[in-house]
Amino acid sequence: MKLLKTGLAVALALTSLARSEAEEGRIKSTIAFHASHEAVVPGSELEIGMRFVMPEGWHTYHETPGDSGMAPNIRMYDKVGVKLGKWQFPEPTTFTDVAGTTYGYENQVLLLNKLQVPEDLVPGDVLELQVSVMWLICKDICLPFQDKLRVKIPVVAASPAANADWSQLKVDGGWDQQR
Amino acid sequence: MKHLAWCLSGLMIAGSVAAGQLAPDFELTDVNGQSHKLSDFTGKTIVLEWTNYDCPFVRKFYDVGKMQKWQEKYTGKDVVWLSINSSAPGKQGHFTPEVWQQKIDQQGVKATAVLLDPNGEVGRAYGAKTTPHMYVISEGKIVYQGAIDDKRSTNSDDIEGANNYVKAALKALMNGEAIEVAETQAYGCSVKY
Repeated sequence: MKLLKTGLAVALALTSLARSEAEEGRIKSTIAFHASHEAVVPGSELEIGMRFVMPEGWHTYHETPGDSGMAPNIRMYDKVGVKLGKWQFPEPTTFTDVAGTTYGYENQVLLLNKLQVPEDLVPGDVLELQVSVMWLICKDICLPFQDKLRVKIPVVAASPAANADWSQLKVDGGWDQQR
Repeated sequence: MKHLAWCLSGLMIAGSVAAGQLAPDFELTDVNGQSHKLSDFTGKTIVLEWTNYDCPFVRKFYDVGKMQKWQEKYTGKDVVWLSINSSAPGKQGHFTPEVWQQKIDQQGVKATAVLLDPNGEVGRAYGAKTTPHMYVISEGKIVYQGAIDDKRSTNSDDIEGANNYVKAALKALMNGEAIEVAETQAYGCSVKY
């Protein structure tokens, strides 16, 4: 896979928990991990998101990509038994050209999921996630990207700080404010 | 090719062929300038492989030698394997015959022939949507059309363990069994018409 470039991002315990940038030639596409809160309580549920940013004119794909293309593939690993739901995709844009119709996202998209924090973690622990992402961006041609993120989320007893940017991130990422 | 184009125009409107239908005849020139007609191979099992060597979904199979391995295996069993490129001039995957010859040598391509369809007529007649997009023809009929396998990805690691529909169809034909899956949605890059 000559075209595949890999980078490793170092985790930041901030609003944007981890961010990475993959580069193919001069075309860059970035991914970033976000969450509704900056820490978690044992046994709680955390809303998380993976944001994909594409250069102008390029798009990535809905889970049902249509006649060509491929949805992003996100794999998450941890050592403590985190439960993860199905990734949710916002309403896509339809792209039609001579070769057919596809469904996806230009500029950026935020895919959402819910993460179940194990009961047996204790405050002071750090929830560590390894995230491996493969995604495809296309314009007239397609480029595959692959990247890994390491995410560290502090475990607290109660009242984790909310991510002040979360609702805006969702709106920017294709989700209606009402949702 | 002139009057053949007229024959195909009716099919172009339909824009695709379904499993069970007659395979539209065509005549295309290979990278060495030799002309091939589908009807030259009457009586044989034929695989059509839409390809674009710069598409990541095609690279998935060629970079690890899998497509070449299947080409070698099945042409060794009297199957005709035709790779077809429908990239228009100036679009990704369109090369001069000399560049094609180099790329075929470098990669060790084992297809019966690599055919050039720069105006996209044959691709449109068959409704080829992606690279790869695979067709299996037996007794003049399309007996399989669609994806190469059931793992929509660009990752070569996914080849092992995937259900390869083309291999399954060829195996069924050789054993005189019914083809279980005759039609799927192809996956890959769009054909660069």
